[in-house]
Amino acid sequence: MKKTFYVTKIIPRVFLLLLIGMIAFGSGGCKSKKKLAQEAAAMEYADKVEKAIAELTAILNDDGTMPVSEKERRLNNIKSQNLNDTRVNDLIAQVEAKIAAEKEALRLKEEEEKERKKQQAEEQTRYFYIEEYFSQIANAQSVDEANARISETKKLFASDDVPVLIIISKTADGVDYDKPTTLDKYLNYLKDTKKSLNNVEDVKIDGYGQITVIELIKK
Amino acid sequence: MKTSKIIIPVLLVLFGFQLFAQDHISPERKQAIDSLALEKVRDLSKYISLIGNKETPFSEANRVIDRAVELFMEESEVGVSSLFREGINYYPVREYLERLMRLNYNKVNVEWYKIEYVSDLERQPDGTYVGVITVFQKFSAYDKEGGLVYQDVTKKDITVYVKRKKTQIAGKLIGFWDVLLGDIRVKETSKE
Repeated sequence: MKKTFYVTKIIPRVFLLLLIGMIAFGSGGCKSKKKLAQEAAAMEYADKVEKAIAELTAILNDDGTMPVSEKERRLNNIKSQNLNDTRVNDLIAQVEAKIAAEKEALRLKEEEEKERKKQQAEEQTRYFYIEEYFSQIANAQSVDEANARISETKKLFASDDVPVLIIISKTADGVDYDKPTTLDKYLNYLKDTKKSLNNVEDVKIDGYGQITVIELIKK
Repeated sequence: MKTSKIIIPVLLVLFGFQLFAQDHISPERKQAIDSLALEKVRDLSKYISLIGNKETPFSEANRVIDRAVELFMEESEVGVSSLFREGINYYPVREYLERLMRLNYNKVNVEWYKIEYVSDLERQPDGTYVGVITVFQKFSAYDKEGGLVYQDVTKKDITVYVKRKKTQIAGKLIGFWDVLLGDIRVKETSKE
């Protein structure tokens, strides 16, 4: 009687309780794993956002030591993460503006440099014809030929006594010259030493188009 | 009293800085001055070669003598030695150059080489830079038939003086370095 009671009443109830318990505990474990994963994802996202904010702020505060290409690389890396955070998005917009401004500044600088080089090249060739005259005197094969070249060259100048200034060094401290000489002495110097080692730096011209002062610089 | 306590040190610092600025020359500028002095000696070597060369027209040789004399300080002398006699004769620069022009040989070659500093330019208390440049001179003299009749090699020391000066040219004040050569002393003479 007692045995039957156990079999028919107690055992099924125990099974039922166990089943309920398993279901209850089993579903509870699932819930906790999901929650943990969500929390981990949230933490990872927050971490990414913080890192992105730190990096974007660093780019914004950069004083020019970081190259523009490096800034662009870092920005693209952050953008590719699609963080969709308002603070990050705001910083991205600021960094994009900064990079655009720096690129524009670089472009302008390159253009200025190009223009400067162009002007320098023009200046170098502006007085090339005078240097040619000097070179012909220095390379003359005879005294007579050199004297003939000297006579031709003198026609470019206002007189034999036109001052000839020779720059020997040009530094931040100032400009240093050799002892000033005159056109006649300088042209004969070219003939005697058979060398023309100076470029024309500047000339002053009078109303007749003749040179009144010439400034040379060591090559 | 209080003001003078401030002004005096400030003036001292400014005055000291000015003195330092005058004394100090950057390495780039110093190098330019060194090169300029060497160039003047090289120019002299060309002038001496031209003056000694019998093919140089008389008028040209005289003009070159004038240019060469301008390179020297007043009263500078040039030493002359010979393998045929002991001792060294010293002549004023112009006299030396005129003697060189009139040498009684049919052809004369004077060549200077190994032109270099033996003592670097050093600043003196009066602001002048003084140095010594050494040169080797090969002197060769030939007779009518083109035969070599005399040849020697002389080592010579040239004292160089460089001083900063200012002048106004076409309304512009310019600072220049005046390089002047002093005595040329014979150090040794040999056959080759």
